[in-house]
Amino acid sequence: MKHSIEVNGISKEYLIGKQIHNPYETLRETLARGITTLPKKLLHPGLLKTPTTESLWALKDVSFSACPGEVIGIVGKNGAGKSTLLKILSRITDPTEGEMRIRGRLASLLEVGTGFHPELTGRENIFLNGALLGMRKAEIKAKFDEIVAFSQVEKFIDTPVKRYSSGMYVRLAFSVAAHLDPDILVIDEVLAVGDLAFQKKCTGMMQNVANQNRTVLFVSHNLHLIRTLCSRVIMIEGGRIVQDGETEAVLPRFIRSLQARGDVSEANLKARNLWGKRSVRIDQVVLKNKQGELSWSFPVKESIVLQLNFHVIEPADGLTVTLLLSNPLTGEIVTTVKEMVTPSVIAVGNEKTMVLELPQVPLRPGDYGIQINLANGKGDQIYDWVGKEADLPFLSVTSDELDPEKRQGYFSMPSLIKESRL
Amino acid sequence: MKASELKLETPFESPNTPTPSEEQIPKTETVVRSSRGSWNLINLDELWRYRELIYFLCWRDIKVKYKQAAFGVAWVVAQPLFTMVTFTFLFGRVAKMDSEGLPYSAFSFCALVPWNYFVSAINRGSLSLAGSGALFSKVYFPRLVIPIASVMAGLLDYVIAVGTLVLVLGWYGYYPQVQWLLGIPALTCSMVALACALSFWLGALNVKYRDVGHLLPFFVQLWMFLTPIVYPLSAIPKRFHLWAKLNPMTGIIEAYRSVFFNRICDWQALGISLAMTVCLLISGMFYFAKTERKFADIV
Repeated sequence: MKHSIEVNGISKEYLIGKQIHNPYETLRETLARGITTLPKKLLHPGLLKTPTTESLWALKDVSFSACPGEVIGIVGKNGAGKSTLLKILSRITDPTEGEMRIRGRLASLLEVGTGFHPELTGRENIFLNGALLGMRKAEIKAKFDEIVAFSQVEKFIDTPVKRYSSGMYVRLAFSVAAHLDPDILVIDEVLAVGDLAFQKKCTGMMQNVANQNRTVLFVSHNLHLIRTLCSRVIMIEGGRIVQDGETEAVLPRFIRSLQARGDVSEANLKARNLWGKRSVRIDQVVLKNKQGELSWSFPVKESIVLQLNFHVIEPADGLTVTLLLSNPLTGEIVTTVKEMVTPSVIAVGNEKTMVLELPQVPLRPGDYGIQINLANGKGDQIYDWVGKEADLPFLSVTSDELDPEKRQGYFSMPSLIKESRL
Repeated sequence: MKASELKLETPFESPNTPTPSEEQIPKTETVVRSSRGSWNLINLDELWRYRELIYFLCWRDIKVKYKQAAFGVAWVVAQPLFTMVTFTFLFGRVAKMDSEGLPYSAFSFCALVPWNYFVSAINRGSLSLAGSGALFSKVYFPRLVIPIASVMAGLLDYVIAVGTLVLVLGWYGYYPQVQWLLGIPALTCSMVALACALSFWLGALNVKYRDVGHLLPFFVQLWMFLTPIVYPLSAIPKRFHLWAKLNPMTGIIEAYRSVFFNRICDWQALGISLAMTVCLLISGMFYFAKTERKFADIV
């Protein structure tokens, strides 16, 4: 079968950092620089090629191909180059080197509701957005009823979208994109929107696209979703493909790479939003098993040890730690653990540590998102929050049980047969 | 456009829609290569496929423009009329500008209507690209669509203004004639082409150098006084005529007057104007193609 996407040695260079001349220079500056350096250039033609800026290779020599009917997940840490790859595939930006071939119509959903105008009604925006995504007018007309039905905003279709709730807006926008009928669908993390029912509809739509012998490429941090939808996963690190293969072969490696100590402490925790009062700053999140080995994956009923390394910037009025576990698919909070560490004042200083143990965790097998916050002793003022954007790895609870019924739900209730008359 | 009526349309009438029967037909293949150091051409085929997007963008601009204006279209008529009254007073009465024996109001108004359109078209066309950063970084479409749509969006206002002009001329006793039907559309087309050409150049430059946007108002004002709008070409000394005709708007504005007042057309001026338009259009498209693939990175 002919590949629907062939990518050969794609690289993308961005100019960054220390620059000899300003990239946003004005016309006057360009002209002045051109004139002042002209004699030099004429005398020393070799100098023409000197690099004027420092550059960053967001992608380096990326090659892969995809067949119709394949659903490929793209995983990688923040800044690994996933978004750049999607942008090149969608032809938004040009590769600096390399070549790619795309067979058929490619639709990309890097953002929901691109080009929506707040003053226009839902109906008008469907046409505008559809045309932007490359649909013909006749095609939009033919699918109009379906789009409206899918979005569930029938009642408000002639209302300007500025009056829509954010949920309605997103549903309408996604519905237009869902009816594109592309041969290749490229999706960035846009499914993290809408309520649970709508998300299910969207994943169903992606599955449909794949079943119709089309190609889906999608980037997500939601490993559960990737596991459900994708047969193949491409893992990117530092702008290069480090592994490309079956989902079950690649995901463990990706999870392990997230679990590497350095990652959780440095890159992600530094990149996170500053949230809360900031008297205390978490430097490192470490999970260990009973034996004291670093791990983010635990068998059912195993104990989990959470260690937080932090520093105190201003004297803290006591300390409370809160751990939130959530469903990675829906973001719904599964459970909260909240413990006071100390009610007394903590002095300013570095290299402070606290350890929280969760004995015999009764969670059902699956992946759980983790959020952690530190607050004052009363627990009513948050000092620091490690939320979703910190990209912490998922806490995986594993089991070798085979009974699928037992996979339902989040917790194992203790139960025993007390009596039976047989 | 009720949802129920839309069902009457034949589904999948567009050739682009893959239907099961089309699955066997080989699909279009797109090849993307690094553009480093090479000259690209505008893909006119693709632009043609996206023609409906131009229509939708124009329609969006028009809708949004009038959605919250209480008097809506009245402004389109009022603006050039107001300018005409001011100019008639200033240049006609106070400065006693020569108008080749025509009523000064009619003389200036029939130049102001095309000129107003032209100015708003190059203003919008040149600024449109820099204002579309959010679109450029999220979705692919031929970037040329944006300036073209901005230039076209002003045409509705222009048509209404021409209607007003016809009424004003009627008031002075100049009634519609056959050559109006041929001349006005032809001149409109050449003006649209010139506005597109300038928008390609200035729009692409403005993405990189925002100075263009700041310079534009001065440039346009200067240009207006270099164009025979408030004065006739004949008011300029004969030896400067060729220089004046190198301004591509001179030929177009003079031609408008000759159409409306049934005079002999200055074919030399119009010919120079057309030749310059073609040159600017082709070079503008080359420059645009050269820079458009960087827009998403620098906008």
